[in-house]
Amino acid sequence: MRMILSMFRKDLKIYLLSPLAYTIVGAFLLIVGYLYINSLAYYILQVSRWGGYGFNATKFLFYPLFQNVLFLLIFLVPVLTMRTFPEEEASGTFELLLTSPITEFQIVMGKFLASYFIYLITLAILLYIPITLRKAGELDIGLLISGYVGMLLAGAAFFAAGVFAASLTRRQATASMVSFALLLLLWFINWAASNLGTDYPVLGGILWRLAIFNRVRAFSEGVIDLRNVIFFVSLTVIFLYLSVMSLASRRWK
Amino acid sequence: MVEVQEVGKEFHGRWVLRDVSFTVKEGEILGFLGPNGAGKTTTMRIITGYLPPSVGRVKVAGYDVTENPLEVKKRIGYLPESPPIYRELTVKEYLKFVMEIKDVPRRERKERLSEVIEYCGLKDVYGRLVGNLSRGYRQRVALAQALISNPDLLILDEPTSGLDAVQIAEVRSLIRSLKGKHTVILSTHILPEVTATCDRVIIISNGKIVAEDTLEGLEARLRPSKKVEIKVARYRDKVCEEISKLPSVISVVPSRNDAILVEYPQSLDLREDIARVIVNLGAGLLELKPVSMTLEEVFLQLVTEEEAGKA
Repeated sequence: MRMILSMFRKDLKIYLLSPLAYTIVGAFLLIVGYLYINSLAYYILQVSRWGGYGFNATKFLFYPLFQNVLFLLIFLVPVLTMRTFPEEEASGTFELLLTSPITEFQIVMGKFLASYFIYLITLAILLYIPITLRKAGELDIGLLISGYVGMLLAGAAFFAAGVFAASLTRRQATASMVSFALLLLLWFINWAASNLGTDYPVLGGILWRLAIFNRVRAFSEGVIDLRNVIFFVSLTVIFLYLSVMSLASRRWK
Repeated sequence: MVEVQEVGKEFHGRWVLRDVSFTVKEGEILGFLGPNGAGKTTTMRIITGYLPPSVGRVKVAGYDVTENPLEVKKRIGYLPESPPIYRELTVKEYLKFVMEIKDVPRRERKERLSEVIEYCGLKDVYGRLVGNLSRGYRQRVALAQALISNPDLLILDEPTSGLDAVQIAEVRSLIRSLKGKHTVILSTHILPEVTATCDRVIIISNGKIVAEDTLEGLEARLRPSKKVEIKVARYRDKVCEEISKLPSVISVVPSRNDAILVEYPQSLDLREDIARVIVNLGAGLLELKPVSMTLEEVFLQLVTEEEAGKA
C-alpha cells in the first residue's frame, strides 16, 4: 500500500506540474460548461412556455450533462493516461522502477489512481453546477448522487482502459490512439446494440448488456442497479489486471 | 555476493550472451570491459532482474533473481546507461521518491538523503529541477539514486559516460571510496577506467567472456613485451638491421610514417641500447617513445588468442 501511495504521489505531482493536464481539463470543463448553459437556456425557454409543473428540473438539466461528460471522456482519458508508461520509458525511469522492490501491480495501481484523481478533481469542479442551481431552487439530490456515482464508476473503467492502452506501447502518440480507439469501441457497442438489436435479437441482447452508455443512463435516471455497479467495477479490475500482465510480459519480449 | 551461472540471452533468435559465468565476492569492485554491443548492459540488466535470462541462473546474496526478484531488488542499487530521471521533479523530490520505492526505512531517510547529497556533491542543486541540470549533474543525481538505499550491491553501467575530465576523476574517486563497503560491478569501454577503479576485470566480447583476471594478471598476460616507436632522419633500413642484431629484441618492424616499431620483453629496458645504435650510425634520432596498447589491440589479442586456442 505504501508503494502504491508513493507511486500515486509522484505521478500526481508530475500531473500537477505539467501544463498538459491543465489544458485538457480546462478544455473539458469549458465544453461541459458551454453545453450546460445551452441546456439551461433551453430549460428556461421550456418553463416560460409551458410552466414548470410536473417537470423534473434536475433530470432535465443533469441527464444531458452526464451524457456529455461521458462522451467527452473519450478525449480526456487518452490525453491523461497516454503519458503513464511511455513517459517512464522515455525518461529511462522504467529501469529504475523495475529494478526497485516495487511490483508491477503497485506501479499500475499508483498510476491509475493518479490519473483517476485528476478526474475526481474535474468532477469536483463540476459541482459548481448543482451548487449554483441550489440557490435558484430545489434539486432532486438523490438523482444527482446516483448520476455522480455513475460518473465515478464509468470513469474508473475508462481510465483503467486508458492505462491499459498505455501499457501496451512505448510511445505516447500510439498510446493515446489506442485508448481513443478502445473508448470509441465501447461507444460503438452501444450504437451496434441499438442498430443490430432489431434484426438479430440474440446478438443485440449480448451487445446491449456490454453497452456502457445504457448502464450510465440508468444511473443518471436515478437508478443505482447493483448489476451496473458490478459491471463497471469488474471492467475496471479487468483492465487493470491486463495492464499488470502487459507490463510483466514486456520483460519477456 | 553475486553468482552468475551459465547465463545466456536470446533476442529474436540471436544469442547476445552465451555461457556467461562468474562470481563476485563481497566488497570487491569488478570491472566489465568490452566494446559497445558486447553484452555488458544485457549482463547487468539480467543481474538486476530487469531482464530475465534465457538460460542459466543468477544469485545475488543467495537469492535467485528469477525466483525471488524482490529480495534481490532490495539489495541492489543500479545506475543504468542513461540516467533515469524525472525532469519535472526537484533533486530532493526525486531522491525522496527513490527512497520510498527502494523501501528505505522511514527513520533512516533523512540521514541517507543528507549523506548522499554530500557524497555526490549535490548540495548546490538540491532544490532545482532535475530537468534543468547539466549532463554531469544529472549523472551525479543518477549515481545518488543508486547509492541512496545503501545497497549491498551496486551495479553501474558506464558511470562516467557523458562527463568531462574533472567529473570523470571525481566519479572514479567516488567509486574507489566505495570499496569494502559495497560490492560494485561497473562496466566501461575505456581501459584506463578499469585500471583506475577495479580489483578484477572481466573482458567480454560478442556476448562471451574472453578473459577474467586481476589487473596485474591481465597486464602480464596482455603485455609480455613492450614496444617503442623510433623515428630517424636517415638510413632507416640500416637502422632496422642493426637494431635487430641487439640481444633479446623480439621484432623490428618498419611502420607507418617512416617510423620503426621495436618489440622487446617486458622485463627489460632496451631504450638506451637502441639510442646508442642509432647515434653510432649517425642516423639522426628524431623520436623514441613507448607505445601503449590500445583497447582495440587488447581485444584483438584476446580474441585471436582464444581462437588460436580453439583450433
